Amino acid sequence: MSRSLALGAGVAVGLYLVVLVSVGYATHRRGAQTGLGDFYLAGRNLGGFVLLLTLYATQYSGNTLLGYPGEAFRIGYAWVMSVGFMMAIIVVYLLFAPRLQRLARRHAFVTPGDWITHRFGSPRLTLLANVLLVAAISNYLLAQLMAMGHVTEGLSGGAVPYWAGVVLLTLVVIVYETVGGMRAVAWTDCVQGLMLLVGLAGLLLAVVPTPAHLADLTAAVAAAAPEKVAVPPPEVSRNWLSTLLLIGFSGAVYPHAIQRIYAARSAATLKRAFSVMVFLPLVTTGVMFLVGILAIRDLPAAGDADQVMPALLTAWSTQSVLLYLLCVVVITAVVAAVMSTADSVLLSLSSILAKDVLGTTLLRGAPEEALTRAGKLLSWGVVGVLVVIALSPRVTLWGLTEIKMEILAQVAPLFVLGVTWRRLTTTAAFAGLLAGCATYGGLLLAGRPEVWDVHAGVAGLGVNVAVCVVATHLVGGGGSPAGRGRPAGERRGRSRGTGVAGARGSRGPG
Amino acid sequence: MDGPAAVIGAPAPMMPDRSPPQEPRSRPWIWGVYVLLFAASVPWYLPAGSPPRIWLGLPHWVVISLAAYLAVAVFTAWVVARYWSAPAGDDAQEADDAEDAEGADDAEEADDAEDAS
Repeated sequence: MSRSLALGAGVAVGLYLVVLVSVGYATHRRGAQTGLGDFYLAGRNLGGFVLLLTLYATQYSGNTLLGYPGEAFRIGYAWVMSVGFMMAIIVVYLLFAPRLQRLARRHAFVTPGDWITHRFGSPRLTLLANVLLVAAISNYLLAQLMAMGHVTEGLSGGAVPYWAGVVLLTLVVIVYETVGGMRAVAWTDCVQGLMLLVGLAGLLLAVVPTPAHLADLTAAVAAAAPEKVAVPPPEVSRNWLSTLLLIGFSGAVYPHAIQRIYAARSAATLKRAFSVMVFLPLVTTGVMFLVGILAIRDLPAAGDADQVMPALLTAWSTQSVLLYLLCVVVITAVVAAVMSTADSVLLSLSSILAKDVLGTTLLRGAPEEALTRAGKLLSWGVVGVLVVIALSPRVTLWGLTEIKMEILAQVAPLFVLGVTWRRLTTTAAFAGLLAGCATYGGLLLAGRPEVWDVHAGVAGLGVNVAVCVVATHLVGGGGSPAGRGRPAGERRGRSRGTGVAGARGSRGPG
Repeated sequence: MDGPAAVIGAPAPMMPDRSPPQEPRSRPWIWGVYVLLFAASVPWYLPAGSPPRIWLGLPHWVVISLAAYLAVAVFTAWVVARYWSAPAGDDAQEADDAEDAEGADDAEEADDAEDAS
């Protein structure tokens, strides 16, 4: 990275961080947030614009801007699959989000575990699901913290060392999150989402995708690497289908995404957000796909796929003032994408630990204010531990980011089948979850991360669903939300409106 | 005194929407369309390794894939507008409760059987 680009990017990122802290402070001044629903779900009052941008900024991480061009560079045009798997997430939402949003408002759900408890009424199932969710998103958060260090070090040309990047950006995130909770996260996500969109629009201009330019590009790529242009072989197609399933189901049950469904002001708000969200992969992963293809022609000597984006930015920044400014915006957008994912994941992790772990053990029966305070303290504790791990030079956990999706996929039936299939029993859901995890873990231990080009996590998901179906039919009976999901007394009394979560949960919609 | 004519001529009173909430999950054909579109997006049906024709500057199979994804987006926006409606408040709650209650008896029987064993 050139010195002048590093300087410009440093100034832009510095200004951006000041804006983030100011937004966080402004949300704090709007009033103290002491209830769980207030702090973790912004009072369940996220409007259409904010909801859309916070979903967008959360769903697309730094990996989208740094990793996806590298993947397109590596495998060629087949990376167009990235547009499809991001859309698949929204399609899977349509299976369960409409009903989940209604139930979340009625029963004051705060965490994903609240739904599981409400639906299945089994503490051990909720515990197992939470263990998997916490493992997956802790790993995801750690990856974001490490990305902060790599991004600042790489994009500053080494002027800002790795450790300083990790500590500085993490500090900014934890400060605005602690003072403003979900409101601060959502509003800073708006800033981050807009930065992302502006950066992508700029990249689209840089790529200049007219048919004539694209034809030249495709001809050049076909000459340099014909296998990256040709119709993909069956193994790539199988892996493509597997990826659509994996990302579609696991991306839809990210805890922080589930909590944004809870936080929507109304069904109409959520509908509007999804209607726009489903088009955004075309202008997000679609643009990054084109950038990666461009690199095949322009950076034939690039060996490391992860260096594709920095190398392209360096090359573009010397061509004109406009492209220089564009590169500065893109670098800020990369930082924004990393931070927006980190803040959302951290808030979600804090809520699960405070409400589902402390709230059911050490702080059982404690008022919401106490749980919220504990959650804020836990955020600092979790971040402290993860920063220490991220700073350890011996730990390289990048590879672990891949397995988080496969872990999350095992939890997906609790939401998708739990909402859509009322006969699914608690026993079957628990057995399915165990079988899915065992299948996935067994294949990994056997050195088979893919079976016939299908991800081990997708194989686990298949086993999980099959066990759910077979066990439900074999065991018999039903498992509707009004049945197994409620305490026995309430179930028999058919009382309305107070599930497990509602009974001990947070304040309802403001 | 209001006669029949007055009643006919009067604006209809605002009646609450008693229809159950509509959701895409309850329409199997919607999911059939999604399966077809996503299956079309993956070029498993084209001869592997064959040199592509160029459409709009891109390999033809990429254009087919992008067209399928655009169709997914447009179809989803239409499905959300047409088949996702949520009556507010008590109406939605009653509809959910009615749906829940269908499986509740089975659940109680299963619980009772478990308790007995």
